[in-house]
Amino acid sequence: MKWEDIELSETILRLEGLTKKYDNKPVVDHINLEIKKGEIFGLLGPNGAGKSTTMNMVCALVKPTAGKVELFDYDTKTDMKKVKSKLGYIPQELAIHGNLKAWENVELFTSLYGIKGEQLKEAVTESLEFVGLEDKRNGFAKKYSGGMKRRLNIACAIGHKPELLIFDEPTVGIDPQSRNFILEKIKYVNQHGATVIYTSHYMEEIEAICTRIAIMDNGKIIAIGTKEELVEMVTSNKDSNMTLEEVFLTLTGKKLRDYAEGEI
Amino acid sequence: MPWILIKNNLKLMLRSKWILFMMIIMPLITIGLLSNAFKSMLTTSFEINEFKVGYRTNTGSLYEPMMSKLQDSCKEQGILLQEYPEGDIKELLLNRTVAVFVDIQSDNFYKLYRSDEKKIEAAMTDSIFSGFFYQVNEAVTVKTYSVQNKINPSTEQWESKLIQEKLPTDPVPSSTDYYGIIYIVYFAWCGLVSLVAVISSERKSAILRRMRITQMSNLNQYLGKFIPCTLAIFLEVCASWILSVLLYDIHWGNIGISIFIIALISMATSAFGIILFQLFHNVAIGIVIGFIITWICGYFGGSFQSYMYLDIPKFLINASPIYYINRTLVEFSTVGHSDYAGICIGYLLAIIFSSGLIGILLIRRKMEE
Repeated sequence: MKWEDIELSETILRLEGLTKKYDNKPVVDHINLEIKKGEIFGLLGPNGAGKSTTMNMVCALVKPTAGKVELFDYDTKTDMKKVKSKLGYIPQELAIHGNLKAWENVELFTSLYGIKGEQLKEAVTESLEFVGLEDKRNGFAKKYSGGMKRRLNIACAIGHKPELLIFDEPTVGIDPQSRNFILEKIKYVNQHGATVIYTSHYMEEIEAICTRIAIMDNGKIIAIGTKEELVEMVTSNKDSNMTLEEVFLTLTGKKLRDYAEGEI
Repeated sequence: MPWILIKNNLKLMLRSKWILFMMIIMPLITIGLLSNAFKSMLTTSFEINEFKVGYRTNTGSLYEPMMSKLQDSCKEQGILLQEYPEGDIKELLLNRTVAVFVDIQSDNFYKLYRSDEKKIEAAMTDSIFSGFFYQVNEAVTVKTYSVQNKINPSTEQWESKLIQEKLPTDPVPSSTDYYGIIYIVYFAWCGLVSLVAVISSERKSAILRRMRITQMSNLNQYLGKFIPCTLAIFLEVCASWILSVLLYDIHWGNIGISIFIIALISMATSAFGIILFQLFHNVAIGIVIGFIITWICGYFGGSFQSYMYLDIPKFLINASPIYYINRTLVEFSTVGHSDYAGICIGYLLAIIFSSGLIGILLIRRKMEE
């Protein structure tokens, strides 16, 4: 399937009362959310807000304590196998083998979705071209720069043409050119039909590409809407020039959010 | 079958330089060192070359007329008996003209000269001459008694009849053959380190998380490690095996069955390694535990001291799979067949199937977690 063939407007992801508790402490607390096809949905939140845990539950990497995740109208608890091929996940950490060449990495992860033969070769070339690494396909991943590794990380997740792409902070620690390149590509895949969920700390990235934004804090969604709608929530002036960062700080407060490993 | 996963995991294993060094070069170094260090340990039979014994008797000695017969008898045993009526005995020994010298000084006294390095030749000479003197003295006594009692001694000649029977004992391998075979087997068991190339790469990044949202089954994930690891170990062991044969001239017996056993070891090691790395999240701990278990099995199985001389309770030796493998392959090398081949293959198949089952269950449990 090509991204162009995907129909828009239907609900692609539905979260109902989604909860995750560690040691009886809620990390994600009764989240209700709907994401439609064709959206670029931004998930914002301070450290420890529960963004990554939510995404992990969407991908069935973490079992929810309560609630329901519906992907493409399938309950992930029982029918995850049916939707795996429609899902592309770009984790925050790099998920590539350093001792494999770029094309070998893409070939490996694309093949795990059952793609083989000529179709696989084409998918590898297409994915590498998409992230601008086709001319360096024979380089070992361990020798790549940080930005190249991030782009390769994306290429490994898109070879099977997923309908829903989840980016978990994909631009951490890379140069502005690579960041800009990745954001442009996210917009490109969205324009060609893929739905995108994007989590990031960088407000300007969310502001630049997302059609709808949810702000999470202490495991709850405290605000959701377009950027303009979020501005309206914190100020009565519709024409305010408030940035997303100002909205975010107004809603979540300026208190430092220190948390230790294992608390989330 | 996840061919691409198998192919790429095999590449990861074969691209690790330190694993290649450990699996190919280390056995060669160990075989060279140990086969030289324990050369004498396995040498239980000695080849004695023909040697020369010098002798000297006094004129009119009781033994003088009998010496020509003794010379003939000694020649049959590969000992050249030669008279040196004159000359310095010490010099004859020092310049290695003779290996041993017997100086018959009177009818009841003789002196044997030897150097430190000719202990065995001296012992043989001493034995021959003792028997010779005893027989001559007995004959003289019988003759004197017959004369005194006017008895006609029997004219019948008494001849001792010695029948030599060669028993079919197992030949002992040379130290090069023994350690050459044993350490190829031992390092094949250490081959579980090949898995580290894949496991550590997966664990230091988010590869496992990415794999969990693909359509790969638990069985495919298991095979994606088991098959390349088996192939990597087998290829590395074969490379080391060929090099060791070329370098040290090691004699293996039945090549076909030996290859089959090495292939089974590669499978058993892979299956066992997968269990270890599923049980221990820390790769270093997994390696250490794996090596300790291999060392213990090797210790009981004759990898360090030859299993022929092990002073360990029999049940411990029998518990070690390495013992059956070592014994089978060494016996193939020395006698061409082995009664232990069946147990060896059975033991390896049991390890492969039981470890395989446990490994798949552990992977399934990990994925569910």
